[in-house]
Amino acid sequence: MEISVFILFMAAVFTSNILLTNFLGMCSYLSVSKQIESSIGLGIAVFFVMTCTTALNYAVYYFILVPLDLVYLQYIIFIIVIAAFVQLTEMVIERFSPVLYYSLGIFLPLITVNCAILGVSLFMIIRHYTFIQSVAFGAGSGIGWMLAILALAGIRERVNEKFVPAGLRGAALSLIITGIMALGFIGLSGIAVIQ
Amino acid sequence: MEAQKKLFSETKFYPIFFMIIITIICVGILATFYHLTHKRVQNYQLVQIKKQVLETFDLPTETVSENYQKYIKMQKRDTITFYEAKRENNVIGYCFPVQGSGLWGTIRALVALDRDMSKIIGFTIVEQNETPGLGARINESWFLDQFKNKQIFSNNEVIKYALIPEDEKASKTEIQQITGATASSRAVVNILYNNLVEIIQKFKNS
Amino acid sequence: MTKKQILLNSLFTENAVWRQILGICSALAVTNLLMNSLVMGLGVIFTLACSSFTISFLRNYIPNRIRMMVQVLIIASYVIIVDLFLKAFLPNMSKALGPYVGLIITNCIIMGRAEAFASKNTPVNSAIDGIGAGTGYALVLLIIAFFRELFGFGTLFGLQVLGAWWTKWSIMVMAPSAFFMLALLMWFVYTMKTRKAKN
Repeated sequence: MEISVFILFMAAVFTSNILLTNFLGMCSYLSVSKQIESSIGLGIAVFFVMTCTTALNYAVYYFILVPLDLVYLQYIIFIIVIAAFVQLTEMVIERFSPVLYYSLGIFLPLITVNCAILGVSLFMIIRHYTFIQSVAFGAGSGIGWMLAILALAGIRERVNEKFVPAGLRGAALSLIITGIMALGFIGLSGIAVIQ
Repeated sequence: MEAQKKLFSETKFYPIFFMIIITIICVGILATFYHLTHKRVQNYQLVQIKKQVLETFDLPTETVSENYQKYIKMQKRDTITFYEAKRENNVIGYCFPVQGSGLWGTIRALVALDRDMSKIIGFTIVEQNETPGLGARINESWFLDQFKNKQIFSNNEVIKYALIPEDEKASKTEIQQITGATASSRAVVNILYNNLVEIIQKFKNS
Repeated sequence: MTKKQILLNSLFTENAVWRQILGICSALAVTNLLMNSLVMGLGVIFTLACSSFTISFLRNYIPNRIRMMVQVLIIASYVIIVDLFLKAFLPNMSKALGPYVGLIITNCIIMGRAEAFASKNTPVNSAIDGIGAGTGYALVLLIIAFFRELFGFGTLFGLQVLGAWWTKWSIMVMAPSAFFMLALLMWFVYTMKTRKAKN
């Protein structure tokens, strides 16, 4: 597959952002984006988990599921890999940096059901990416997700909801802001050039 | 009073035991379901390929297996597998699977050339992962129909079709692109060009 | 609560999407076409009903510590069944929906109902609650898809409704419109509710 890894990475961050174009990872995105600090924490955590689990799931899929003809179990296996990895990460963080652990608090278990993480693994399989491409795709998507949540948090911290009609406050407003951001990101799609 | 015996469900082993049992049950049910539907899925995929080859040649697709049997023969030369279409012992043309990178993933297609391999008689997309609503529109018939009856050569060289805006009239060497999906349109043209160059080379030599 | 009350509660009052802001991911992704939304909606209703029923059935046996893992396992199993069914009987749909079928697993609604209702109620009631929540979700999908398909393609369920005179609104086909439509829907529901409360 000839797609340049760099282009794939950039496209995953900007023009086909996992959240703004593919709508994945919205639940925690909407609830955590009230403050920039927590968004940074969650964003980094998501980036880390996404990159690693994409690589892990690639290995599991091509070295275990395919040879054993168990492809139809991929959903169960992928989510177990993700859950196990998050659990492991949680234990490691708790051991080495209790401060970080307490500040991340509930976010870590929340990551397990973040559709973006499972989604990235599924996309990678559907699009037949190689290992390097998968990692680039996972990393790019993670950064893209972090970018989106940081942008929303930055905006929400400044928005004065007094001027917003009552029915639009809260989640609806976040959705509109996200929609406008998505529009903006579409404008970047001219950048990817296929030789 | 003697100590109460601990219920099994309160021991440390119960969670593990439960997990194992339920995993076995779930996987068992899924495996059964999978094997029940497996053949059907495989069958469908085979029929799909046959249908697409027939479509690319503009042959009728109502009774796929019959018609495929009647008109098409799969052949192999060097490393290229292709499909030869014959109607009453006259060769209609040859159909080649082509592929290359789109914006998002591999685009796989079938291109049918006429008997002299100088003209395209059909072009169908087999698999693509482009942006739904934009790049994915390369699947639309108006876009693919543009390739029908297009000459491959100009001055003995394979033409790389130029892309023009959607509503303009296209000359013999031009293809209308999809508005808002320049990259995917370009990818299609490039894939066609690259693969045709390779095919012509291989076939000229044999 | 009576069975009817349970149904109406999870369908309207506590609607997963506009009230609880759950299950948004797939609510936005498949709504570019009505057909896709319908199939997705049915898939979610099936998964919700079955997993709520099963989880409720086993609620007294599931050890607390591995509660989430077991729930995920059960939900994932039903989703795989839906996926296999689509691949075998509706392969075009399966291709169109792509990975979003698998993403039903991470649909927060299912986990949410499992935790909030199924683990504390009887199987039949939980199934009804699941059907209600799924239907509420499907409803939202269909409403959004109605507008997106109509204005973006001029069709409804694939049938051409608006003639060639209609300039297709490209934005309805792309991602941002789903965000806007959902926000408008929330606004609409809110307005209806406050108006009802005022009367």
